[in-house]
Amino acid sequence: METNELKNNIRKLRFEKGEMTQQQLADIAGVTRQTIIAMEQGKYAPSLPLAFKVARAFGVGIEQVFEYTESVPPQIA
Amino acid sequence: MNRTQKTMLCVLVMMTATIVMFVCELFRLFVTKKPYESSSGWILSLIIVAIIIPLLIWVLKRQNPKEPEADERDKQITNRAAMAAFISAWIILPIVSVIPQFVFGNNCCIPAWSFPLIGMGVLAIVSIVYSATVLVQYISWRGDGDK
Repeated sequence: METNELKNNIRKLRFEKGEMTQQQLADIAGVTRQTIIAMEQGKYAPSLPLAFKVARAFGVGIEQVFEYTESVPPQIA
Repeated sequence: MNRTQKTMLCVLVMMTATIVMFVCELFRLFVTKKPYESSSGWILSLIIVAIIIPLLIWVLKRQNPKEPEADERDKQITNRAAMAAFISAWIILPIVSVIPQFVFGNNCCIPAWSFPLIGMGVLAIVSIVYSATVLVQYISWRGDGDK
């Protein structure tokens, strides 16, 4: 079965960005702190506009914040 | 807790109380057949008003004025809950509609006022499903965070 996973580096980037709090990031992205928490824990996959807002808040590209891994099991011949 | 969660918690409590009171009233009407006492109705109304006013103040008070009322995650949660409520209405309404037939038989008559009551009952159950689905989703997505 194919499994898709969206990983993120929000927590790491927050601490690299002068220990930015979840509330500060939420205020910049225009969402609630609960959404930032859910995203950080990988429980919520954000929309593309929100993903861009988060990336811009850190001043980095979207791929530095989010990582999409797609694992396809080996095909049996 | 944001405003959506608070509202849904209030809806859940009030609708559950409504169904309990409704069942008690049906029990009084058809089983015990006691006459209605207006004094008890007034006391109950006062208790309900006394509970609703503080609840409204609690719901309308904003926790953080800077935070948005609802974001895309909240909308996703409410959309899923609306779908669950819609599906539950399609399941509950046919079930509730055939219950009188099974209880009273094919040749029995039921009073006309019972139809709006059935409708209101279904509406109350659907509201409970909606609010419970919203709250369950918030709980499953909950995290403590580090501020």
